[in-house]
Amino acid sequence: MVFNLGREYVLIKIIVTGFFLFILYSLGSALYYMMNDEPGSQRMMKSLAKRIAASIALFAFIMFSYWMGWIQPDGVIGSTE
Amino acid sequence: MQHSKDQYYVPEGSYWPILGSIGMAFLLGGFASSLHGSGLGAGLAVLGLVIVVFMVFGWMGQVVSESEGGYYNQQVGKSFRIGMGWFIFSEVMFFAAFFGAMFYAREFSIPWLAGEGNNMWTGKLLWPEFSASWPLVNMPNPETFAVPKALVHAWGIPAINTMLLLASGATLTWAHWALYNKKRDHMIYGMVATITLGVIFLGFQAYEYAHAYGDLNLKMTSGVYGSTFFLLTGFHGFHVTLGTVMLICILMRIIRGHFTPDNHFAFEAVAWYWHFVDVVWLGLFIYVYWLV
Repeated sequence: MVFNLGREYVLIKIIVTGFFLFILYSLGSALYYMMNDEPGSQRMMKSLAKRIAASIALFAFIMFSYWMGWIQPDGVIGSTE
Repeated sequence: MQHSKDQYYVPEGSYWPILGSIGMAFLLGGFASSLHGSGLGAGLAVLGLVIVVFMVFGWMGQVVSESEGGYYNQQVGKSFRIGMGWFIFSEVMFFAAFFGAMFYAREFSIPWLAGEGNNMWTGKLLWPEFSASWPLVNMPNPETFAVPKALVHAWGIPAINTMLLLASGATLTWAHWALYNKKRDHMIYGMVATITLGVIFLGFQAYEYAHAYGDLNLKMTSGVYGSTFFLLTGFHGFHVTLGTVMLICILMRIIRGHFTPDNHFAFEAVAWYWHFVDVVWLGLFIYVYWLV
């Protein structure tokens, strides 16, 4: 299937990338807190909680975009003839 | 053994590293022999694996009893964290390499072979009939590869598996909160739920592979798409398997009353690893199945 890479698609790509960067940032900061914090600090757990919340939100956003018809799964770039 | 907490704990001489080396030699030697068609190879590899697993449980069990016996001070804790840091670094590089391979094939080498950029003659001289596409289903020389009849669709098992792993991240976070709130029963429920979700994920993944191989003819030999697809999802599956084993070990320790809000590095390390594996899957799900 070849699908049209429209304006919404570019916007969605930016939003998804933004979400994903935030997820990587939360995961990375959880790692930093795990390595450096004093015993009893809850910062790592809170970062991981943000990470999972953002991931669930991203998944929901992808499903929503599909439902709205902005994106299609299993897209093929270029010609499939 | 007499030991003061002011000193860095150094254990007595141990046979575990030697046993581990023997196990690794059997495992890798046996596997390599089986690739060369030796009948004995697979048996030796399994024997090696058994020795390695025995070594890991024996050695780690010793570390756990040293930790619970109060031998470790904060400096030892720092050593564990540094070790974990290097392990994570190697894991990030490992997956970056495979994602990078897929990205390079998809964005650069395949379009170049079809003549994109300043590679017009490459396309014209090598495979004039070839036009670039991703996933690479229409190959330049299909007689060399197992050409897939269809692809694994995002709706269905990949989407279900994403939900399963995301749910497992949430149940693990529940267990993490329970640890700080000293609710051991909630911790156990959260861990059992996480492990169960991980096992269901693996079951679906095994079913998906059987479907891809048996019905879709999508194999490791299906060109660059098949090989990168199975490399990424397969190694991810190995990581989920390992993560599940580690979670089971942590659950056993929780049941035995280990870990306090101030002392639970093993729990944190395994939790972080699971979250990392979850993020890798999310990246896979988006990059492989959705956004092109």
